[in-house]
Amino acid sequence: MTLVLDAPWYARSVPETRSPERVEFEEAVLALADDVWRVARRLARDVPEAEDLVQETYVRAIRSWRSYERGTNLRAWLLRILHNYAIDQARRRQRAPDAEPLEEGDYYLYNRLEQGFRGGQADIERLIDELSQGPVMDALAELPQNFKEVVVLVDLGDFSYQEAADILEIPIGTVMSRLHRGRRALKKALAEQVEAA
Amino acid sequence: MSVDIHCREAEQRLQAYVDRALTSEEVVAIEAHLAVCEPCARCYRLETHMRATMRKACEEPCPEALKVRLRNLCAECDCDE
Repeated sequence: MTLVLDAPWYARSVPETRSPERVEFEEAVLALADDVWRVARRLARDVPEAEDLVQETYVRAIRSWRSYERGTNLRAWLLRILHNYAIDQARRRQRAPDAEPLEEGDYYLYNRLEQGFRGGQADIERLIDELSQGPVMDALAELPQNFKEVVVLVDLGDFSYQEAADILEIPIGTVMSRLHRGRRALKKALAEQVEAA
Repeated sequence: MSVDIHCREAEQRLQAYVDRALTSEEVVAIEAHLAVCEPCARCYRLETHMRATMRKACEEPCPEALKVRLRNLCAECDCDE
């Protein structure tokens, strides 16, 4: 046992049987726990579900650590595991309604406000000023799952369109389309809240 | 892409601009437009502000107890050694 001082939280004593590659992998995935948590927290309905998502993601990651190709994007690799497990869980719980598409007709208020902003009739600065975290998170939570996962990966995870497409195993055009529609739905929800205030 | 673009083109490229997914030539064109078009600049500010607000709201770190469980998971799993 080696005592590690002034080390990050994931530093620990390591069994002597561990290969250096395995130790390096474990430390790298543990250092990404905050990133994985933020994505899981937004995809899950509550904290216990998010904890289950993260824990099972790490179990699967450790079991298949040799399939990770060193030098590639480890964060994307982990989140692909998380996404696959989340799909498995959703199927098991038969939560199909979450994947229903947003209809174009849902955007009437956003379009009206946007036209107002462009014409100078409504005050977009007021909307910007009054945006607060609570309503943004409420609006995000209400997005259908297939839109939410794209918004979460790109806006919170900082992934490129291509990386999000690889993680979700969907075409890049679908990522861009869902992202655009997901953000529009968010703005519509926020505009409604500001208008009602 | 011409450097001189109009509002409709700017609007179509705004999302990709926010996501840093445009070519350098397209970036020059949209930035030139945003510098002279206040309505489009307001839409851009809304886009970036919404994203920043969402990111700020999601800054919560992984709970310490879960981190401990993850660390133990790694220590206990001797698979494929």
